[in-house]
Amino acid sequence: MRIRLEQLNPIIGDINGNKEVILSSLRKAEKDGIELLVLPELGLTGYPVQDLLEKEFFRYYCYKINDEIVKETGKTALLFGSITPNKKSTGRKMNNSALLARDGKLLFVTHKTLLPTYDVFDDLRYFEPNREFDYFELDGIKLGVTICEDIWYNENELQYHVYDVDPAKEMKKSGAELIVNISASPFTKTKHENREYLLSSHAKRLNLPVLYCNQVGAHTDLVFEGDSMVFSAEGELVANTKPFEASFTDL
Amino acid sequence: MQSFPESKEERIFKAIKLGLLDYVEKTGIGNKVVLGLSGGIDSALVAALAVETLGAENVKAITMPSAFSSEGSVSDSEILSQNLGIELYNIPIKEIYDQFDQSLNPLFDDLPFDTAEENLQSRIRGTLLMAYSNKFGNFLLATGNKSEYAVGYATLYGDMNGAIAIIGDLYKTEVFDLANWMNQFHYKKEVIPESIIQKAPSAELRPDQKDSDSLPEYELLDQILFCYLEEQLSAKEIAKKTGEPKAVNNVVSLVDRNEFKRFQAPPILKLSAKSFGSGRRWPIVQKWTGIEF
Repeated sequence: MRIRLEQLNPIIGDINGNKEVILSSLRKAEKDGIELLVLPELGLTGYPVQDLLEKEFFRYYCYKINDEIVKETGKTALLFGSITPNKKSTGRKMNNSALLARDGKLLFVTHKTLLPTYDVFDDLRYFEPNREFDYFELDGIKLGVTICEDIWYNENELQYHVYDVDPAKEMKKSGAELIVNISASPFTKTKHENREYLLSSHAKRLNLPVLYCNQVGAHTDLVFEGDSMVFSAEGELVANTKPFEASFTDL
Repeated sequence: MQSFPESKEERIFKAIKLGLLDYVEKTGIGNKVVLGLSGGIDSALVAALAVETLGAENVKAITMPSAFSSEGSVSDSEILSQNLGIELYNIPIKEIYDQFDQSLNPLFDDLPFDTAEENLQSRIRGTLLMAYSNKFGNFLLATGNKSEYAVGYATLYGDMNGAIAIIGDLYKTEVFDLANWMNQFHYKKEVIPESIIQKAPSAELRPDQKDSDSLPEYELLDQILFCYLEEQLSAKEIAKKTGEPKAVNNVVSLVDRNEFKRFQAPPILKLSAKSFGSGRRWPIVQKWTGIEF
């Protein structure tokens, strides 16, 4: 399967503009014969969205555009990040989701499990956590889709909390053959090494390839350098993107 | 395979450029900036980074000497501006300051010169910069660093003015490292003048003032700050590590007392695991202090 990881630079709240960026990336991937295009966490809204998410009309507009993006898909499968409504009667209003679409149809939706509230993060303020770990089989490949923090399971700074569930491990247990992680993980001076170490050790521990696609660009005080990477099941780096700019890598 | 920058300085350089560029482009604030040049390393570095990001034609600088400014304050700013190819305006503030002094005289009478007069100079500069910003649409860049925000050596409504603080998460020692790195590896020549890099840091708000008069040397100060802010150690533990209990207590108490200033600081571009801003939530009205532990 020909897969592309593309780190896009969205603008928070520019839903129409971000939709165009997503669709032009999809058009190019189709032209290049890509079978699966992977884009970063919350690519439709930009990250962090903060209290824009409290507005019902903002959420409903995003849901409408999700449908429009799905309808625009053709032979290239598109995995993109957006918000989706929480269908339960309790809990927070929405999920932080990964949507997989092809041929104009929504094939699969999964949600972020680990919702960080330490440091600059405030995901649990808005999003209902996921507790289902199904893989999705696309053309015979069982994809385990995770979102950002899901793969930082107990690798965050020491002073922060310890999670009781390891989403990637649960995916493996359920039968996933490949871990995809879509992210919006901000820059620090030392983050690159942390990221490399954690992705590589995850890959080795699970004995599965790990594909990591991160947002690029800056929002207010946060810089996202991209640094999207692919590790083999042996924990070797096999592909990466050019950091600090919108770029992609193909597999 | 793409390479990720090995050196900390190159990473920071690229992150700051991306942070400033996207701030400008995504807010639509316009790509013209203004900043005050003091002749010191912080404003020199911010000017150089702004030129690298936005182009020399979009960066305007103003030097605003007072009676306490050293000669180098203006002349070093002139050399820097020439090297960067930016326009530099000179607005001396002595007369404005004297006017304030005279107006305040009936209230202040013969009270001694203190923080009020020191900060007045900074606030005159902040006001002039904001006037320029309003008139020409150039947005103001704050030039503060992490060490001074930490200990509160910055003036509210003065040099803390600005839309964004692009080096506000760099300790003073890192400011020097980045300036040296830019000369050596980016420009490959002396663009940020050595005279600026070599001079002893000073706010120049009273005669012959040096930062080291009231603060430990920056090597020690930054070590204490890193231990307290990022490693979350207690004052006792930091004293043991550094062998400088007096300096530690002084610094920790300054950090604890100055949250009210940081709360009003511009957004600080995050470059470290613990920066001032959205990732550090600290009560302003509170009594706890790290020096007791």
